[in-house]
Amino acid sequence: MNLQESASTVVGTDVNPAATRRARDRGVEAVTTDLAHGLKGEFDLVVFNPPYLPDTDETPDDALDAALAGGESGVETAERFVEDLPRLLSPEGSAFVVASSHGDVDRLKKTARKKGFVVDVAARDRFFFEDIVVLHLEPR
Amino acid sequence: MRESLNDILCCPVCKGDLELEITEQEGDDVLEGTLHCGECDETYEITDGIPDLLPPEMQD
Repeated sequence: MNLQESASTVVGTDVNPAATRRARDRGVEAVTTDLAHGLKGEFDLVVFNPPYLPDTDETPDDALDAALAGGESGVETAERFVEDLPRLLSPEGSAFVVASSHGDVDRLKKTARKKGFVVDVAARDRFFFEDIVVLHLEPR
Repeated sequence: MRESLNDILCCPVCKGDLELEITEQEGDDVLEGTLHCGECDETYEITDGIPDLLPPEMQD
């Protein structure tokens, strides 16, 4: 929300209409769509906090599960996003993507490099049983 | 959604431009209306200020 003071356009997306409803109620422009499929570039900054936990049989199949589990390796959703990212970024733009040490972060980094991004770890912090990692992606 | 938001919206299926039709607005804020993709001949709803750009197979 602070971004709205400095950027000309700020827009948030979520596949869950309850989430976009909440964002709009808080004064953030919101679009219900899968990842960023309903948006076109060019954006200077893209921030993505995907569902990043590996999907297991123990996690229930409901909306909360969809918000937490990012596929078998935990990074499939993030990978789908990274595949689509070149279309969305301005030449000077960059993206931040959140991942968990429980997911296959190396695989996600590899996918991003293959798509032409320079990848570095912008932040890493220990939370209870996992490391939360923020990857910074810049077009090469 | 702001009317100008349509400049950065696209059809989730073909990525083509969308044609905005407004049925209710407050100033610059579009509350109800539709976004139409001519290429796919698909119409996406704007409800209560939020465009629903889920592909047809993901909509309720």
